[in-house]
Amino acid sequence: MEELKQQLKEIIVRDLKLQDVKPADINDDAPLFEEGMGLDSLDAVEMVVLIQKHFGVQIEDMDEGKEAFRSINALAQFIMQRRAGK
Amino acid sequence: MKKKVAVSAAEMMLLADLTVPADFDRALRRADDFIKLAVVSAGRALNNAPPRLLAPSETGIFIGTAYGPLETNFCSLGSLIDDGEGQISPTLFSHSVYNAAAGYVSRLLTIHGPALTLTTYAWPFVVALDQARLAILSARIKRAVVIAVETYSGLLEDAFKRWHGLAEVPWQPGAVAWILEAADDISVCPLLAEIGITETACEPGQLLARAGEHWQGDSLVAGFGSHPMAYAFALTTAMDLLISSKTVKHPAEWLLDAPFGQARISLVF
Amino acid sequence: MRQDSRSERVGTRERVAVTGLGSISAAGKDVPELLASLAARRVRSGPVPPWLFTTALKYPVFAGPREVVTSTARFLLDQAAPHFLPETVSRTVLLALSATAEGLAQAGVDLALLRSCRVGIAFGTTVGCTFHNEEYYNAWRHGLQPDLQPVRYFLGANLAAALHAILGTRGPAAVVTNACASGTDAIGLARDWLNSGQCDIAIAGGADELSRVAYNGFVSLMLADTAPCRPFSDDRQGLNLGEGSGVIILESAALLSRRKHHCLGWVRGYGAASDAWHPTAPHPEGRGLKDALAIALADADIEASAISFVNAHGTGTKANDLAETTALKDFLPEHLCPPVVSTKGITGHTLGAAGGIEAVLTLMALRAGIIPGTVGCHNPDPGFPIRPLPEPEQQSLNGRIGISQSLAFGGGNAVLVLEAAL
Repeated sequence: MEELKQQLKEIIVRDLKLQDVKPADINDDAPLFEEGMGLDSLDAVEMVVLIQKHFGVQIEDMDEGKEAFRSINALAQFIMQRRAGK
Repeated sequence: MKKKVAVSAAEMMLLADLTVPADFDRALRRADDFIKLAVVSAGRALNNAPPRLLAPSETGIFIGTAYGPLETNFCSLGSLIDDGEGQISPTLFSHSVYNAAAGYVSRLLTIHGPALTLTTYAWPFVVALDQARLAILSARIKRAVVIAVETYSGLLEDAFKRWHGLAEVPWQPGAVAWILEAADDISVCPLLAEIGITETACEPGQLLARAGEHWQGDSLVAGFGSHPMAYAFALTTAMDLLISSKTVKHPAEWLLDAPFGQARISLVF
Repeated sequence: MRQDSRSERVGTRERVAVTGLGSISAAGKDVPELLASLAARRVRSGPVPPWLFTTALKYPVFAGPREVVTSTARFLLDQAAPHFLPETVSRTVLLALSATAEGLAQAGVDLALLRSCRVGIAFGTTVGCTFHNEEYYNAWRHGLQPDLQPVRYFLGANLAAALHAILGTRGPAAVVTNACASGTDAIGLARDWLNSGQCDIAIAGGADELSRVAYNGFVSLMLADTAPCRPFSDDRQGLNLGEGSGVIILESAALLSRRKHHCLGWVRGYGAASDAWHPTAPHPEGRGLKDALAIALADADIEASAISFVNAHGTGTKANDLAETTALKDFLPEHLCPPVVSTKGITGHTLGAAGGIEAVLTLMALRAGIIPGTVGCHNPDPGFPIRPLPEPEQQSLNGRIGISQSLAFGGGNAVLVLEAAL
């Protein structure tokens, strides 16, 4: 789980081009979008593609995306559950 | 249509000299060189123009380009090929659209008027100048930021080298940006009296090679090489000189001539 | 209204007349077929035809006919450029050519007249301007030296230059690459050419072909619907891409009075403005659209109460349809709100062509005095501040002035004010 969360932080910083953020700066429970990390709707759809590419997990629509992208903890949990076939 | 259109600033910038101001870093995190060149050159030109009290919707953006953000277009093709269907990067795809730069310029420089991106191979900057001039003459806007930008692409460079058996390509990626003003009350700046462009059908390779392209007119000099941005650099250097010299001059005419057409810009003071 | 609608002038300008219309899309190969499709609410969407490109994805598209050179276009080609080879230009150029041929035929403009005039050609496009040859790119990046033909093809694909070359005409040329608003902007700038005396006649509109890159791009942006699109509907899930071309033939009052051809209507005003908001999402309250509407109406010298029909962009995405109706609510008069309709349910979203095709539809609806409701919309979203006209309904128009509006990626908004002649 810790390894997965670290990997997610690295992907977010690198692939969403957040030059002013370090992976270690991202709090596991902090909201990723809007008031939190300041990510926007284009980052959200980019995340959907990134999660599919790196973890083979499909996010069907933005209702599902909103749940998954609440925080690093929520996203890691979502990926684990999907991989376990739940 | 009794209005006059003046040029109050003219800036040029090579990609090699591009530095993004720190306050744009975050907003330009997803932007490619095409967008960055447009934003930074337009920002500099606006800084050099005399300050005016205008509503954001009274300024428009006019961008001319021959090749657009071609490198980002190819990155998005690569993403489709490598990552598979349904997995193309939405960021790359949305930034490969030719008007992506205009959107960034409007957002970062708080310009709410019309934003027009025009694509043509001959003299896109002159086409953009003309449309900006017409928009001011029609009184829809009072000021225009007119930009030309090219970043080319490795694919295009290789194709060009093979086409002509060249070892090097003389292209200079970069941008120019001019500020046009509705100028019934501005008397020191050069006025754009008339613009005419006639394109002639030609072998596509000529548009890349620019062989036989030349220009003449007051303050307009050679020495910018032979590439698709050379005419824009020459026009901008001459215009900057005319603006800064501030001496009253007789009417002038600039002529661009090439196997692919002719363009004429008439200036009065 | 400050202006007598029969006057030949707007403010200090002469009005720019429309004398011909042309269109090709999934909804038909010409304007009569397009209107019949709209009246019958005919939806010709389906899986991507394999002759366009191969895909495993299931999102429907609105593909044009396989053979896009219509008999009218063939006739024009035989006269104008008998040695022209259609396979040397892109599908987008051929779509534009077919719509142009129809428009010129209706305008009664033959080649002799065309070549004796200064002809402006302004086209909007999105896919049609770029280099989408995947095989060439893939071979090149693997160090191979593929045949250069696709590069020649790309350099010959500038719509305005290609049409000038085919028609043998001279005059101003512009290709507008303003994403989904391109066609509307192209008509606006052609109108400026006529007003400033840069040309006597103009061919203006938009054209775009379906491409695998754009198709996948909209899927990745999560803006595409897996079912036929449902603009303004409470259950809308996104857009379907389409392809085609829509063209209007504009001419100066001077030329029209000299040759005395039937006038279909006028381009009365044009306005454009930017959201300055986000690379892909519209401003939630449609700020830029409201600015564009205000500029267009001032340019046309009319009040909002003079608008009897609104052709909306209405793509069927959640964000677009909400932003658009929100802007219209603030802009249109409360008590006599004119019908608001999207026609993308029969054409799909044809990107750069949309503004051209919809200018044609807007003018024809104003001429007919009646508009069928939005195909694909059975229950207008109750969350909208205004109620767009749904599919089962139709409405008579109480005037001859209407608007056609387009919204684009990058925050561009463009509005045309069109008026039908009697």
